[in-house]
Amino acid sequence: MRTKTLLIAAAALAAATISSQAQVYSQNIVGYINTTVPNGAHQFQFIANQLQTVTANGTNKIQDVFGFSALTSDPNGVTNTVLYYWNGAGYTLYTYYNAADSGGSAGFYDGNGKYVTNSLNQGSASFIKNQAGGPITLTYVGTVIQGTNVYTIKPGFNAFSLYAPISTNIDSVLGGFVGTSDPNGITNDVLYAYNNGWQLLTYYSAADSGGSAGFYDGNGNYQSKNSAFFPQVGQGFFIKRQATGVEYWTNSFIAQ
Amino acid sequence: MTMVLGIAGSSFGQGYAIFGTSGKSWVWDNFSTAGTSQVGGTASANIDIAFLIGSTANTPLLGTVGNPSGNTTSFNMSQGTTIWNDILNDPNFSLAQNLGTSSLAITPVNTSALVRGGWSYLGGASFQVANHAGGTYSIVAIAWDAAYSTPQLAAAADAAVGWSSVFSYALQPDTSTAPGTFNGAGMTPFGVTSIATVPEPTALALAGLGGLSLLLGRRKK
Repeated sequence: MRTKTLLIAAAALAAATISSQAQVYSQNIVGYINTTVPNGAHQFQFIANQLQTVTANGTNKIQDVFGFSALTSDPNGVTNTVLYYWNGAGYTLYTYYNAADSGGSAGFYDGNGKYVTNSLNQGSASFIKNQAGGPITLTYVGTVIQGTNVYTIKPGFNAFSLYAPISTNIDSVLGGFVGTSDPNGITNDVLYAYNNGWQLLTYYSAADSGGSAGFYDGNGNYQSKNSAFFPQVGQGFFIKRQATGVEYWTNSFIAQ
Repeated sequence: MTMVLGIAGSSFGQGYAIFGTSGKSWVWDNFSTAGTSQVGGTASANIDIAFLIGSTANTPLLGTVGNPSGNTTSFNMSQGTTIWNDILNDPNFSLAQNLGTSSLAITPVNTSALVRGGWSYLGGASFQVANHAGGTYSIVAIAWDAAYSTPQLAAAADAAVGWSSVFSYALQPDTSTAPGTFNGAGMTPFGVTSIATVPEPTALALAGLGGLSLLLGRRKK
């Protein structure tokens, strides 16, 4: 995914640095993120909203998190932009219609023609499908969320993103991921990294791997620090939990 | 509302798979040292693996049960004459091809301790299976002596072979959904075993008859 990020911050934050250490104070960072969604063979992109948007509709509403100007609408429902909204177990499809084509408000509509009120929150991810004849650019505008984040990882697939607009390995100091490991490779957590296709990486603890704790490819190679598999800014990833019960993953993001 | 609601289906015909396993001990070597099973092979990478794919409505010529499922030391000769034929000439199942490379999807079985006996085609990256749209198919994993680089060469040499049970696997119609692993789809572990070169009992009986008739012929003279 080609992503261009620009954070417009207050002058005091011009030299802002990112730290995983908790601080007594913090300041708001507002800005925008541009995410380009190609058409054609790579028309699906795993997107994430990493900037909090608050409007009269509520917080992080799908209808508000990225501008509509780049999205495509078609009264026949053929070339419209489609959001594959991750519902925890699969996708609910929401199709974009402009005001002229919908006969009502511009925005995303569900399969029954109902205007969508769901949110696209930080930490989550969904797919978007660009059915237009050329690339489109999603622009998110909002505030970087700072503080402690807790993910609940349920058995099966979980669509996640980093809360903050950064690109790093999820088991880095900032990412903070410590997964379930099994020396036999049965119940380990599995990362599905997205790069116009899927890359499967399995989590092993240091004790189980005999080397570094982190993600290994199917050939047993340590890949945690391979930037090719980092989630990009504005991009999601799957964690597949193969063990039973839920697991919690905590990280923290503070700008100082 | 004037719009026509509808979601276009998959616009790209070939389904996506991840040809790999998580974990270890899915394939073992039962041929390099006679009578000894060695999960994932010895120090050398001596097993290659591919897979047959076909409609769930059909049963592969190999049958539905993987072989060998235990510590079988070898197949007998009569089995050996049909195994490779059943793999290469099944009218309903074909060896899967990577659409992007137009080559058979073949990869070595791992010998790394961490994932020994598992495998990971393209390092675990998804790929499109040629000539198969997204949907659910019957799959059989086929493994053989990697001294032969293709199933065809292995067949010509009656090389050691083994296969998994039949299992259902979903090719994803597009990249919005992550494909599963083979073991995650229900594949059972299996070994790779030699095809016996000793004549089977019926062949020995025929040979005996031949010798007897020679003796009888000499006595008549």
